[in-house]
Amino acid sequence: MSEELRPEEIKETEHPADCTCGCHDHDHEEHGHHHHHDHEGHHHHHDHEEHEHEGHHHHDHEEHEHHHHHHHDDECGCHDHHDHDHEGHEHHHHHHHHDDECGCHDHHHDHDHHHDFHEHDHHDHDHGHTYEVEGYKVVETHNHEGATICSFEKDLKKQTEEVKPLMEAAIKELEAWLDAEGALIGHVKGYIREGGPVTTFSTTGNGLNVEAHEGGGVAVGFAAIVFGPEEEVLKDKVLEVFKNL
Amino acid sequence: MKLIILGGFLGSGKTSVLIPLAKEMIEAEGGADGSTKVAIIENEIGQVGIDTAFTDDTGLYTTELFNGCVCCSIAGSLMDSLAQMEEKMHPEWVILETTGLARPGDVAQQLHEYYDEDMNITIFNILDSRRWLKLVPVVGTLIDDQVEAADYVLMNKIDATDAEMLDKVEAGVKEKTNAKIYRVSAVNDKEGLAAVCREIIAEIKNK
Repeated sequence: MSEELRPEEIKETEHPADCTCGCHDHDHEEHGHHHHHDHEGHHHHHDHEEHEHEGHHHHDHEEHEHHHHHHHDDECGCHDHHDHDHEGHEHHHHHHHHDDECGCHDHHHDHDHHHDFHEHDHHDHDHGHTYEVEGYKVVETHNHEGATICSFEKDLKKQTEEVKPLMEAAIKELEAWLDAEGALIGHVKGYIREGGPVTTFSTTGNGLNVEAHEGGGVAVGFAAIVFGPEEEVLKDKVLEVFKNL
Repeated sequence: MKLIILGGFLGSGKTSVLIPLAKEMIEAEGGADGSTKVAIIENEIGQVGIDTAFTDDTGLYTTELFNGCVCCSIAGSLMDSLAQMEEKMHPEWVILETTGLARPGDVAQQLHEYYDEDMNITIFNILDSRRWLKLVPVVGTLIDDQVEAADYVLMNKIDATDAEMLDKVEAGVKEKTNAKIYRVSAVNDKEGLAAVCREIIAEIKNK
């Protein structure tokens, strides 16, 4: 990833006040947001240890669950029974790819072009992460139903005809990378929207002020919904392929 | 108010069906005068709304629900939006375009359970005929759920594959549902799609 895109800051996305996700319906909801990431019915070609966070869920065989985003000061004990060592991992966003050594994704990138990932539990989702990236209005990632979603929005002082080939090249590069990774492309989509002239009207009681603004520039939106890559990996790749935008 | 839940897996062509469907509904409600009788709810899984870039210019009343799925994480927002729509504009039709990861059957169930048990809900499943069979072994549970809940299945992108594949897809779909099945090409046969929409709209109106 290019240097100019950093620094980024990962932020937890807050639950909306009216959130009905049901995340808090089960055990130890006093610990705040503990997002879950169930692996059910996946097509692993190897056996691995079952690691279950006791007191959360039950699963039968070759399954493992991780409940993420505990607060640091939690004493929930949910990690007391790990069969594997999560040495040094933080309770914030340990989406496997951080310091986990569970090995559950070791087989992902075998480059044989079959989609080697697994369907997740019904309604398995997290509330995602937003990243502050210079030049972008929004960069966010999250998981849902086993899919990894990365979307961004940015404004450019460029014209559509200039941006269009850059978008095409970036999306083709991402598509090729996803294919090489054995990922399934759910949908990769984007838009370029031209900002036309805007006329504004304003008064504070001393006459009406009417201003015409030329506009110009474009807004670009993009979303990738794919199966396979982890959030951070996908986000880094997306920012990399769009670095010329 | 009649709610159409436009479901189907990612990239199946839901947005391409949405606009012609809305236009036919407006026609069915009396042409231009009917434009206020159709409203759209766009649900997108990401924080950035891409599909709304297509619907913004329709002039239809559109509500956007971003960053979650109405079948679970933002179900409450959907109900709030519906309540506001009913109060403000009394639409005859509301089209809810779900995310490609949603289970429309769950949306309908929640609405019947928590919003209005008598709500008139019709579920469309739009599927990509070209790659549906490829998706079955990979995300089979999800797309099975999507098809099983449907009242109408629109096999889209039929011009992008051959007759043999279409027959296989249709046979696969028939194993999952008794829904009425149509073959369409939303992009390349707009008149064909419009005719299908008219037929379905008439059926729903006569329910």
